[in-house]
Amino acid sequence: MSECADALQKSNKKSVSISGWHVHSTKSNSIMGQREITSVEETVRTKHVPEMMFNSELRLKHAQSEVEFTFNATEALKEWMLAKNEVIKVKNSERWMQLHLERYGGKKTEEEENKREEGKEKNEETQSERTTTVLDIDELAKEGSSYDWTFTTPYRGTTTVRGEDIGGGEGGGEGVNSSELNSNTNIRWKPTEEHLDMALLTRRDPIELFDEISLYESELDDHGVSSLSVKIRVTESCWFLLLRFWLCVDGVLIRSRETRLCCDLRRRRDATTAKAGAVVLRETRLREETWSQLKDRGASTDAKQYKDAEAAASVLLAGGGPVRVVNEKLEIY
Amino acid sequence: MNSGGGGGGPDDVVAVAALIDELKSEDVRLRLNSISRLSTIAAALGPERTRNELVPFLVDMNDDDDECLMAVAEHIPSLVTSVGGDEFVHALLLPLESLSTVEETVVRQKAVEGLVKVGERCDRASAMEHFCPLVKRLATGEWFTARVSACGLFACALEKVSSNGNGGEEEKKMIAQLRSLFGQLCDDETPMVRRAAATNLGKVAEASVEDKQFINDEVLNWFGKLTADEQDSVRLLAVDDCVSLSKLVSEEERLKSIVPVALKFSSDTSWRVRYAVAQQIYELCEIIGADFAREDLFPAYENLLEDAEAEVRIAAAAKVSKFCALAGPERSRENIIPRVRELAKDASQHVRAALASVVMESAPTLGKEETVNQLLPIFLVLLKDEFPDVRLNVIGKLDQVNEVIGVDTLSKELLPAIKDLAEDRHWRVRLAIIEYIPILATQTGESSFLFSKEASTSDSENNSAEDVLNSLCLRWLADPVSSIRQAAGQNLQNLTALFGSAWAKEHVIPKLESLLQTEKNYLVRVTVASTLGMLAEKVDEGDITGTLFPIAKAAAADSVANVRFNIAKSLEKMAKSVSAGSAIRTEILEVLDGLKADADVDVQFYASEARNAF
Amino acid sequence: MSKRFSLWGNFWRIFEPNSSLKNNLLDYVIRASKDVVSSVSLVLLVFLRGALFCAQEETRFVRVAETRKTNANNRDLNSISSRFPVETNPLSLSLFSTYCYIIRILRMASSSEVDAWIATLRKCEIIDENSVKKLCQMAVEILVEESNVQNISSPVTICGDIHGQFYDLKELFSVGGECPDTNYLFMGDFVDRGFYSVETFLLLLALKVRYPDRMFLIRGNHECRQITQVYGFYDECLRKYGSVNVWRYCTDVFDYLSLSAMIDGRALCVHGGLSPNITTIDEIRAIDRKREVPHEGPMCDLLWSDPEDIKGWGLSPRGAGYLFGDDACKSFNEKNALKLICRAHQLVMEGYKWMFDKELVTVWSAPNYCYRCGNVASLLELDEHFTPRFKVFEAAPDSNRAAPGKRTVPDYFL
Repeated sequence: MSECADALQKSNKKSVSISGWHVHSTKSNSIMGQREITSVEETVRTKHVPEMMFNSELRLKHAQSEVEFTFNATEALKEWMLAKNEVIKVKNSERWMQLHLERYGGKKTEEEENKREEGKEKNEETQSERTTTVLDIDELAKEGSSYDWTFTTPYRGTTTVRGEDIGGGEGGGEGVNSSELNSNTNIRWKPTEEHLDMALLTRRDPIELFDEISLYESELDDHGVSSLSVKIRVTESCWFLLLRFWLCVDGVLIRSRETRLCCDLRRRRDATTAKAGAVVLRETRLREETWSQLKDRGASTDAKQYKDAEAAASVLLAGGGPVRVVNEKLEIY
Repeated sequence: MNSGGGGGGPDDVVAVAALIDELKSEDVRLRLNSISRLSTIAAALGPERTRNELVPFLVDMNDDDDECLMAVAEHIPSLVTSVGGDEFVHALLLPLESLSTVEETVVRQKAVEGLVKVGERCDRASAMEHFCPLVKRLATGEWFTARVSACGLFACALEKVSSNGNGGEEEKKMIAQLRSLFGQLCDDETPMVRRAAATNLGKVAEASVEDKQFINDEVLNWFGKLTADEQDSVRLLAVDDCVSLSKLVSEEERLKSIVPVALKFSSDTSWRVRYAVAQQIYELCEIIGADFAREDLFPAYENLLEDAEAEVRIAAAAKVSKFCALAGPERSRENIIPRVRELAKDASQHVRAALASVVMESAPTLGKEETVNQLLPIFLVLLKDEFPDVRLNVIGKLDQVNEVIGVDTLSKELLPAIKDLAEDRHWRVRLAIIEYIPILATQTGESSFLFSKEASTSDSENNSAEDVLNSLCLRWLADPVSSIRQAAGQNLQNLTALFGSAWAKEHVIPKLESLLQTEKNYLVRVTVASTLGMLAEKVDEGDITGTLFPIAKAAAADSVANVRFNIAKSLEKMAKSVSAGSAIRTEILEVLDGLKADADVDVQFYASEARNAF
Repeated sequence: MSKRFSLWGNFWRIFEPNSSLKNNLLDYVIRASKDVVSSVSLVLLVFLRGALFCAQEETRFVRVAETRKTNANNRDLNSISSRFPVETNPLSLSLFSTYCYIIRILRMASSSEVDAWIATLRKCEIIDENSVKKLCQMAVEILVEESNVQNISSPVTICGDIHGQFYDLKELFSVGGECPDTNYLFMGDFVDRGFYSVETFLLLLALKVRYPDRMFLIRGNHECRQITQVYGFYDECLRKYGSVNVWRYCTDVFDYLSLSAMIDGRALCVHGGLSPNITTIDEIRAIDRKREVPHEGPMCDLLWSDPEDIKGWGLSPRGAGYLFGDDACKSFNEKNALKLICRAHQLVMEGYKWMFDKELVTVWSAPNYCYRCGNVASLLELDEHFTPRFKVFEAAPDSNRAAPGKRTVPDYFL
């Protein structure tokens, strides 16, 4: 058995076909190099991408209906670009900015304007002592260009039917809106009261396929972590996947967006209709808390507790806190 | 703190009290520490208190930490001597029994291992009274974890009860009961239990090896069921049973009940089952014998070499040479080698790597001619593989090739490939080649054109080869990678030891001198500086005086300190290699004295160290 | 430090110049300096330094100390004093030569002990807490004398981030050569993120102590208390030693690490990059570096800033820290007669990356970063003719590491 596992370790492509589904995972062993990065930058139309991006992909295809779920970094970053996220600042930003202004002057906010007169003389003195460097904060900000450096994406995977994108549904927010699609299929993500079947998910059936794939990750220049990854487990009774976006900006905020997809494979067999369909349930859990909110409710504000998505998830699970949950389902027939 | 020494002192009592306290500690690490020293505690408590206090404590110890539970399961068997001898060992069964039913797999596995260890220490009476009833309880347990654990205990129980043959009625009844229970588990509704049964079927059969009837009727019947299981995870475990059962049954039964199953498995729809077959089929063929295997099992193996799954081909490729040996030269040439040729071009690098590490071992089977004609081309393909692990695996077997094909063919056929590898992009491949050079040299000898200039001047074709190896050994000294440069120095020392002082003087030392004078990169000069010392240990004193020392002396004035202190180290070796009181030694020490006053602290240090050795 | 010096200095000053007491004391000091017991020597060393500082010879001494690195024996000492003939009086010269002597004795006496530590650490085994304490004290003694801009002469091999990837550091040494045969400059970020920050940092530090002229270490942004508490080093010390003492000793050493290195006056090596506050190399020399890395200001910038394809200076989108462009870099180089800025700090898949018409290079020395990035690493060899050569290398093969495996085990996640 162990030798068998060793052999499996070597290949980075895995696939399994089960109950009408084909599951393929491709896991890259290395981050993208300069060429691949440039190509993503061109596709996504930005010059700023996470320093660790993986050319990895997870695909699940329902053979009969040609419904397919795809998960990869490029698509996730496209949705990141479309989402108009507010630009947040690191913990010591305010203090840094203040000291910068003391050193160089130059910002023209109302408050600043008043103080300016008094400080002018002093500023000029220091300026003249120094050489020619003059750094206007607005100019600086322009050069650095402002963008959502946390790479927060509303991505919940791409759903296509016969190769055609059917959109993300309502619950996730900012992705492609299904109403905009003129499509010739009725297969849609729809709100539901149905919840994930925990009894099914806690069954210890033998695992046919398991994979954990990182799509992208950033260390935010040592200010925390931003990561997007997907895990999949296929057993005889179901397939289940968890797509997780995790962000921790040390001392500022945490953000988690978990998307779980589950398909009960037994349900198909019991179906009374002659044509075998499938039902996929999707649960999205969104969570965002600032450091002060965490502190207020007595949760941990120790940055190392939130260093990776997995560890943080268990800390947060134990500690409670506000979560927005959206349940949807996709009926395939 | 006072841990050593004889037991029973007051310190020990305190220490044991502390350990017992730790057993109840909140801190997992403390508990683990204490558990790992259970036998110490037990020894201090004495047999009676161990049975009456420690064991019940362990039974009640509802630790919520799996790691602790695992440690308990692991250490309970170490108490067998402390409970008061074999007649009391059954006391240890109880705490293990509860551990064998927990949910965590690793804990259960440890508990089962422990139960077997304790069970083996029971005598027959106590096995009848305690161990077998325990097995029966677990086997009929409601929760599948108990039944899974039970599967691992039958072999031990059966062995205990049936040992020495002459058991009474009670024993016979017990054996029958146990067997029937195991039969039920083979047909259990939970796949996990059937898997455990499949894993242990061979052992259960072995425990009843004298009862041929039982094996032929019942065991083979269960085997049949398990091999037809709908779950591939059960079937693949049954593959192992093919081998273990083959050893126990008659030739007739083998051909009737086992070979067909193996054949069926070899084309199973699940690749994991085929993978297991690829791993086991050689052993099966060995037991069955080449004559019987030829008809069905050999073709089955040959198909596995062409399996659609890379993992299966990896496992099959790893057995190629063993199969050749079993199948004989003719069949190998006809059926196996053509497939091997394809495998050498396989799309999966891991298949090629597996093949590379074994393929040359079939050379003795094929004989020299076939090896040169058939195997060598494959070998050369693998030597040029784009994946460094494949190349490394081939190089690791080069010495075996030498032996079969002889030096002449080797030189002609392999040298160009070795030349390429000597400049391989991957430094570990280059390193492997360097390490192979002394082996090559040992076989070819000094006079070989490989290592000397004159031997082949008439033969223009070989001339290039000669230049190649000779210059390679020296070129490695200037390799971009430090480990290669060092290995190059070592290699030259080995070759000098082999070929002698004159060879070094002619082929190596002039090159070293010119490198020290002209090489711009100090790292290369550092290597050469230390190589001087290594050679000094192998050449004649005259050559130290005449060539090595003058070169070193000149280099002692190198502009870079790193070179100078390596010269200091080499000078020490030179001084040690010349006779005491000789003029040359005095001269060497004088140079060292000069280096002691060097501007660089490290040069001062190494020069002083060297000087102080005299 | 200076407080400690002045205390000793006051002690020294109460004697009349050339009083017999003073000369007797000096005799005693010189005799005692031959004592090989390192603790005696250490006490003397501190005394001597204080005495020298306060014998109105500060400026001269500092200059002498600057050159001591390459001129540490009597012969050279005489040549130094001949360069400062007027200012040098026999007493201070005698003090200074004693000082140099003790430094040498100390190194000789402790070298076998340090060698033993190095041997242990090379096996990726830790040394005990007392040894760490001692090693760190010895390191501070050396580092405290180093300038904010260490002058290094080529040849030297320049390396970037290591991040506790011990077995990959071993691989680096396999490719680049072992210290002291090869001279090294490591540009910071020795710790955090990898599994072996303790072994990695202590090995580099022990090599620094054993071969101060062959091994150079400068500070990275991870060499500070705050970052190491979040990104692994603190927890690793706690896990491996059961207390945070080792972390304290190490972070104290961090405060003494130099900020940059200048190679042959032509290449400036720094962990992060440039600062808008710094236009000349002397401005780096003027920084008071012996402190925790501040959140702002020139010292912070040297360790944190990044080059970027922009004009002039930019503000990081994160709201703190600078980005510098092509022209900012080129004008700095021109003004300071530099050919090259060498820096680390940013992951590069290919191991190194040229920017700004080869006036700046990023060197990254942690292959397969965080055990999952699959990137290659590099080191930059500058030979004695200032010719740069990059050596690219991969992560150590699994067979060479006692690795906590990276394999993903199937699990029943929810």
